[in-house]
Amino acid sequence: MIIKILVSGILKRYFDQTSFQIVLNDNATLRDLYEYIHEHWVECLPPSIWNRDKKKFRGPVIVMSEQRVLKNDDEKLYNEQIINMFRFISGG
Amino acid sequence: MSEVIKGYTAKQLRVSLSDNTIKTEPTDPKVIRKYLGGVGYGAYLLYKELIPGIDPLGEKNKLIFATSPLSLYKIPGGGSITVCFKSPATNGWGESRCGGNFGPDLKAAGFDHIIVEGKSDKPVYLVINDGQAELKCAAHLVGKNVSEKTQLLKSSFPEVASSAMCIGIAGEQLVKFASIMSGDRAAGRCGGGAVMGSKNLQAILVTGTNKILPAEPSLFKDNLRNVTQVIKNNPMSTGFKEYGTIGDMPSNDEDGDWPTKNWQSNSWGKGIEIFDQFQENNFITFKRCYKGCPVACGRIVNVDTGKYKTPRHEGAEYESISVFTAYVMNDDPDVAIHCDYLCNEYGLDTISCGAMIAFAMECYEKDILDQEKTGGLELIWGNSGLLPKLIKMISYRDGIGDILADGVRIAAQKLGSGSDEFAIHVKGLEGPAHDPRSGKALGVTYGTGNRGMCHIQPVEGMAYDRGKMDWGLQEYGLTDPEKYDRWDEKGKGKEVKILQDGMVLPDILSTCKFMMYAGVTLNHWASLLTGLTGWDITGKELLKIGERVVNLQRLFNMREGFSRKDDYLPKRVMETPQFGDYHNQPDCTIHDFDALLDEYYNARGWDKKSGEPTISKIEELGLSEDIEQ
Repeated sequence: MIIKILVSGILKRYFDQTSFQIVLNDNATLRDLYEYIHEHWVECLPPSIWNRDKKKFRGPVIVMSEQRVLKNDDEKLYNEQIINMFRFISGG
Repeated sequence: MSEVIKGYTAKQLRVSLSDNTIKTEPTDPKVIRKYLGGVGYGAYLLYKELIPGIDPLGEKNKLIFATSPLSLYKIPGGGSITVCFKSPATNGWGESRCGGNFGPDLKAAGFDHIIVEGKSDKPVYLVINDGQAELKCAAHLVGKNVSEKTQLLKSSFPEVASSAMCIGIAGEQLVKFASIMSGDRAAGRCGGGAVMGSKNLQAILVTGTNKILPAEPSLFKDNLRNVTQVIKNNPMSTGFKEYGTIGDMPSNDEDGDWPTKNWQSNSWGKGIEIFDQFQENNFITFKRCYKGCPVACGRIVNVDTGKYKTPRHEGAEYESISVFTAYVMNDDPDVAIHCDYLCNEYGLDTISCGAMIAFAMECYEKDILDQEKTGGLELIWGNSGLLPKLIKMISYRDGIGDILADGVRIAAQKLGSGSDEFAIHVKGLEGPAHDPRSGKALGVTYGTGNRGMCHIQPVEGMAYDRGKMDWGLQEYGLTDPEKYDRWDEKGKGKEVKILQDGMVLPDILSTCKFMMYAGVTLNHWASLLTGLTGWDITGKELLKIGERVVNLQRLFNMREGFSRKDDYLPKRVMETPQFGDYHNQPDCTIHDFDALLDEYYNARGWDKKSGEPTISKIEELGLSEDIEQ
């Protein structure tokens, strides 16, 4: 299946692009997405952003789709799903 | 005054504590149209009614509690109240905003504003219930913590919802950075709690059933639906709810936006570790500070066990935790949360409190303070066990706490020995947990902000430089932040002018600025105002009102003797960090602050030498009739 990734905010500097597509197997879950990111970008993502042992984002990074935060690693993804990723920065 | 003001109660309550009189006054429609409410109306009133040179802790100071038509539960960000006064910290313009139910409940009680003047000869509290107000004896409240006071106050109205704002022990002791508390929320910064304490006013309690009906109900309903949808669709509102403001900590540390060890550096390297520990051990759930807030940035937190056991409460804001971690080199979030809780209970501004302790630690490091002067306390960096003790000492003005309670500028004057070099403040207000060595726009906002060194009044410069936020202001001439490097200096002075004029609007409208982070623009605010008031008002006019108010606050300060010299940053804040990731990064330092100020003054139409608004600028903004010339 094809997953479209949109990267915004500070994360842009690490992925060096704001949108891209990846191909995962048909039964892929959020965990598989993280595995993919780890395989392709681990060297670009600093330890403060990416937990290399757990192979997932570290700290206040939001991964969401259709205005819903994706938290469950076992959540199944679907073909042509759009997933937004950004590291939260606000103020206050 | 025959004109009817829609969208307002059109009434203000004037309370004279000296002679125990309370009057209901109509608000002037012309003034309201010009200044709207919040810090705008507060600036108009204080400029008009205060004599320059008065003692901020004397009888002649006034406290203005101000709402606007948007201070309603149904409005995104409407759970808000602003408090305006002459600040005991700066001797200049003072304002604080507090989230919560108090603002909407004041309107439900029948008033847009409360003006408190004079001084009571004994402790009192003010009760406003459906248009009726009275002063009551507050002897039973004196000496109690904020949560106890709040509980006692609200027990006056067991059957109905009510809101209370009160001072804590710090306000009673006239600590110059005492806050006014509304539950766990604070009207912090600038010392409003000390002003309230100086008047012997312990608290204000409001309740009522008054309803504000929109001038154009159908239009208002449509516009409100539109604005709510904008926020719902914006990922920032998700981010706030998921992580709160403390979610900024890791990236701020990484980007050199985390003042560390009393600003000796701008990063520590422990931001992610402290945040992870907090999420794991202390965070319970999100909290809306008022009924229906769509952003819900509040955190419910606790410390379960151990020496710093702390009950569940709303806290752990980024600023409050940062000043009790990076500022003082404490890496235990349990301690920081406990300190934040204590500040709430004592009614102390967390930012100034943490800044004072950091300053004291550096004084100790440099032998300006010793154990004799500190009463045996070892003010060593990272000595986290000291922090709760010092907070109590400051609140009660006990021992070394008495010196620290007057703020860093006065403390440095009293201690001497070169301590003013690391007394980090602008205009007397201690610096918060954002560093202009992460992005230069913040340097301009720190220097020129009317209430002093504040990261959010009226705009967060680092959110423009690093976060690349524009808050919809490109429509009004703001340059796309993507076109700047965060460390560029040229151009930032000009941009800050537009940023300030735009971002002061939530303070004028007494709403929450985070709504603008979640996509609300001046045009959205204008659409809500139009529906509520029937005025034909646009985002462009709101920007002009913003400029008017910023200039009036500036004129207030000028009248108190401020000038260009008071717009400068402490040297340390502009210099290369002494350690950390940016130690060898000269680009991060501010190279030519004079040029930044010149550019800013030019954009403002102010005199380059004095920093004063020119006559033509005053006339352009319609201020001539409201000020002396």
